[in-house]
Amino acid sequence: MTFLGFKIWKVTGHSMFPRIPESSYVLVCHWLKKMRLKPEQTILVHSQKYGVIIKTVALIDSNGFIWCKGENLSSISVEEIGPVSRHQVIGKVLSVFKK
Amino acid sequence: MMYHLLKKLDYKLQFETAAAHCDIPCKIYDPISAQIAVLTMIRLVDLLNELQEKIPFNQEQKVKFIRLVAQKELHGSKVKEEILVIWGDYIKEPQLEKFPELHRLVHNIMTETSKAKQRVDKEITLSLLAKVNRFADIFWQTKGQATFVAHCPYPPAQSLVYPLLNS
Repeated sequence: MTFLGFKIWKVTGHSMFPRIPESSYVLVCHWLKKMRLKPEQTILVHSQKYGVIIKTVALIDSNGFIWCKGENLSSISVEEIGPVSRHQVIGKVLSVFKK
Repeated sequence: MMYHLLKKLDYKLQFETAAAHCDIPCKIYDPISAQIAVLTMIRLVDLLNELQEKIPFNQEQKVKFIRLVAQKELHGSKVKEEILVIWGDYIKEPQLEKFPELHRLVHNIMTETSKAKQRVDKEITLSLLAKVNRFADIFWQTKGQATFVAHCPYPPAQSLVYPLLNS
């Protein structure tokens, strides 16, 4: 359910632990993706391989592709996730609600 | 407080999920999944052979035939996946030195599984089970775990290698 471009998502998996533990909720702004993304921002991405994933921006290359990373060693690697275009970005995480 | 409120809302509204994908080295490996998948293939071959006697099929038998074949394919893929995960993630140089047959054995399991998927042939599935049992035996030996062989107490009642676990 989206309200004024904001939406709550539930997080599954451990790759963003400890900042975003499994079963946390995140508030995502869907229109902020249109603004400039920067490294270390947390975003939701529609990956062709993994579906909707939550990751941190590792870097943005000279072609404008976004490379994402997890926040601990258990995460799939930046290379496995692969580059994503801006069109695949669903939104930017504004708040994290955890236990 | 906000978390608990969202949890209650989630119960009602079922929020969409975003995955924080991980590839954790959890160290949970057990060849039993592959062994059971082969047993399933053997059972499906038995059922397919039983069904063959009813040709020409009516509508219901056609559906059953399709489902049996689809499940045989699925469990064949599962055999491959389960064996490959143990081989790729668990087996390291010390195990390979102790059991030099491992690479050949895994390759044979892959090719025999393909054959078992392509054909409806019980002999092939039984031969595959023997190889997967050997793989299981080696796996438990690398863990220093004794094994025993017993007939599974359900169809197709074939022999399986089990670990002799102490309570």
